[in-house]
Parts: sequence; C-alpha cells; structure tokens
Amino acid sequence: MTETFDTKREGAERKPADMRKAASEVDAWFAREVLPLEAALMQFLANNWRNRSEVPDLLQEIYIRVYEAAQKQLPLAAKPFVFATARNLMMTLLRREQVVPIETVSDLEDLSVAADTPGPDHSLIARDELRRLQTALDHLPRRSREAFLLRQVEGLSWREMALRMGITEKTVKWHLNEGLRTLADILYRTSKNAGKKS
Amino acid sequence: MSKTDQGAWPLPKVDSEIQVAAADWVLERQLTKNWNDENQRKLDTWLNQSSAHRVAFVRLQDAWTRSERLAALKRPVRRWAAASTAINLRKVSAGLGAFAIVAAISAYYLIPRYEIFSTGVGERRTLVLSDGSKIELSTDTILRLASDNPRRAWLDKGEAFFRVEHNAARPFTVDTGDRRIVDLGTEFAVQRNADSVKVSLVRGLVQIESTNSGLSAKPLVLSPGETAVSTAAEMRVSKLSPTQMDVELSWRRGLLIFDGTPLKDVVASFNRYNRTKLQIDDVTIAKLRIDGTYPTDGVESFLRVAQHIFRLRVEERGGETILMR
Repeated sequence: MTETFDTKREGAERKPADMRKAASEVDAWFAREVLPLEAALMQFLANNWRNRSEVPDLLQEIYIRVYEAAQKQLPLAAKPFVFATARNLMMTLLRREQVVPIETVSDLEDLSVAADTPGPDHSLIARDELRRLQTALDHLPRRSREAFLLRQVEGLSWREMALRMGITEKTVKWHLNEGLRTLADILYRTSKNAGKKS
Repeated sequence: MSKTDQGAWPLPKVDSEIQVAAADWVLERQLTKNWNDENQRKLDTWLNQSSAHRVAFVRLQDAWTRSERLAALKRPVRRWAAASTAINLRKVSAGLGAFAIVAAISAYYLIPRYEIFSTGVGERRTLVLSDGSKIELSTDTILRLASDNPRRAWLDKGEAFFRVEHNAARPFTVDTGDRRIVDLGTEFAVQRNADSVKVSLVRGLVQIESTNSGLSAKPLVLSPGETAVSTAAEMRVSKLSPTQMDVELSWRRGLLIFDGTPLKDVVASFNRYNRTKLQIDDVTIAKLRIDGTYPTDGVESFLRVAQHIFRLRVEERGGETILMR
C-alpha cells in the first residue's frame, strides 16, 4: 500500500492509517450489530437447511458476505440485511444443486416470519451480561475456566499463570485459546431465554 | 473466497485452523506488554489475507472484550448483612435526575453471582466469614462463594477445610464436581481431584448428594471419622482412626504425614505443594511404603531420605527430579 502525498487528487489512494480507521469502523459495526444476531441466525439456518452439519459453514459464508458488503457501505439496518443475505445464499446454493422443488423455493420466501424475532433489548443487556458470562464460564473445560479466571479476574501475566497452574506458558496459551473459542460459541449461540445448563 | 456466487459452492469449511489462529492473535494483542507497530503490521497482514480471517478475529475479539466484565468478580471477603449493601435511595435520589436513579438501581442488581478465592502452589489461606465460619484453603485451590449467600460454595480445584457455624435455617453447602456436600455445623474437608471427590468428616454431620440429575444415587450421610471417596461410578466410605484422620488433614498444619503410604502417593502429594515435580521412573518402586512427617515444602529432605535410607537413585532431568532404583 503506497502512501500518496496529494490527498486532494481525484481517486487518490487512502493512507494506511485511514484504511485502518475504516476497517475498525466496520469491525465495530459488525460486533455491535451482527454478532448479537448469531443465535437467531443459527436457529433460522437450522430450521431451513436440510443438512444440519453444513449450518456452521453457512454461517461463516454469510458473515464473510455481510462483512465484505459492509466494507463497501455500511447497511442501514443490520438485521434485515443479514437475514436477506442468508436467504439469498441458501437459494443460490439450492439453485446450483438443481434439486429445487417449487415448494422449497416458496418456503424460503415465507422465511421472513422467522427473521422477525425481537431485536436485542439494550436496557436489559448490561444486567444479564455478567450472569451470562458466568453461566458460559461454567461450561468451559476445567483448565480453560481456570486460565480465564486467572487472567480476567486476577489479571495475571502469561508467566504468572504458568507458575500458578504448574504448566508451561505455551500450554496456558492453548487453554486460553480453547476457552476463548468455546466462550464465543456459548455467548453468541445461547438465546436470551436459555439460562439453565444444557 | 466469496466475491461471486459461483465461488460459494462447495462451502468453505469452518476452518478451525482459522479460528485457532484468530484466537491466538486476539490473545497476543491482549497479553503482549509492548504491542508495537511491527506487531500490528504482522496482524494486519494476516487480517488482510482473507475476509474469513477478519470475521473470525472480530468475533473472538468481541467475545474477549465482553469477558473482561468478569473483572467485576474480584472483591475481598466482605461482611454480608443486607442492610449494609442496600442502597439508601433517598441519598441517591437527592439532586439526581430520573436516569441517574435508574442507573444506580441497575448497578445494584449487577451484583456478581460469586466471589473467587484462590491459592498458588504451596500456598495456604484462611477465610473468615461474618457468621464466624472458617474456611482453610490448601495448595493450588480455587473456591467460589456466592455473593448473596456465603454459605453456598463451589470448590473448583484443590482442597479446603470447612469449620461451619451451626445454622439450622441455612445449611452450608459445597458443590464440587457433580456432588453437593450439605452440612449443618461441622468440621469437614473436601478434596477435589481430577476424577474423584473426597470428603472427610471430623465433627458433626454432613450429607453428600449428587447434583447430576442423571445419577439416581441416594444422598449419603457421613459420620465423624468417616471419609467418602466418590468417583463417577461409585462412592466408597471408610472409617478412619483419629490418627488416620490426622494424617488426612495434616496439610492444615503445613505438614505431610506418611504412614505406610506408597511412594507413588507420596510423590503425588509433594507435587501438589511444590513447583519442582517428582517423578518415578521405575514401576517396581512405586509401591514402596514410606513413613515420616515432612513440611509440605520438604522435598529436599524427603529426597535425602529416599537416597540414604531407601537407597533410591535421584536424577535431575529436564526440570524434573526422577526417582529410580
């Protein structure tokens, strides 16, 4: 990425710092507006796609498409955009497979009902968030939970965690890595109503 | 990977390599003390390789940021008395607008569910609750107490000794693994191991229940002098003599007492309390019976006894100390 000295020139390339700022705007939008939809989106995909095992892959592809579209221009309303992307992707894939019974296509048209789940209630989010985190923590593997508590509650460094847990720093990283990925899945995929252990 | 519709099929597999790499990057950035431009450049390079990288990173970074809220759980033991934690609404509302009052009430309800107490390897710690109950934490232990009721505890790791004040209206409970130990005013120890839970009762009465709804085990009531070891499959109770109970709980005095204890158990005990780990390299000596009393950090003196009295060889190898014939 080359820097340009004359930013007023038509079609001038953006500076790296500008690119980074723009990227972080999209990131912030994505985290704020799209990630809270993950639970509803997973449910929507599970209800409407024959092959359950492909659902996580569908989710990834939808996220990539939404992200790339947002890089060009942030959508005005995230929820309809995300679900429209999901519908379009499923229809595209079905079309390519060429096993499309007419009924299936029209079923997809009716999917707007499932997509109109209530949006996040921002006033309740702060209150429930800590409890959801604690419930998610309870579901982590023992060592990962320990690593998370030592880092986020006690604020220990890599070295201190390694000493406390009696393992190498590399193993601490592995436990935190696994814990973070599992925590993310639990946080995003548990609907607000599920408070009990599954 | 997804610039056109044609590229979508077959779907990109949820690449766990990408997820692991993204998580690594999130952790690098959070825990590296001096994150400089060079680090950032490397991260940017990886992010620019694919939207899949970016999306994975944003998602995991968001999860990490949300989990930072857990820091709210770090609090010293506080006296719990409903009056002192209640907010005096009259004081709060004087001079504040409606929004501020709502915020204050919301903050009050954000009471964390539990507080965490832990010890490092070789460390011991005693907690005193406002009702006079005492909890001693052994080495390498993690204990949680419910914030709204410190008579509700979880033992996540290690061992703790509880001396509980009698309160028939509010039994003291300790959850560990899938067991719940309920007690009404007793002295007992709970030890959590990788695959079993051991409860030793000194005085009073405890009841051990299963919190796993899949198991249909009846609750077991322990009498003083008894020890119950429960694994996934069963619960075994043995009666200990006062001397044996003393051996079981010798850690409370900073001691490890061995009384015909197999060498492999001696080694395991020392390893719980010390960072220098011992290992047995010869299966024929694992069952050697050891007697003796050592301070919990008395590894050196035990090794001298092992060499001179039991005639074992001791070697340092790669940070560990090996015992063999």
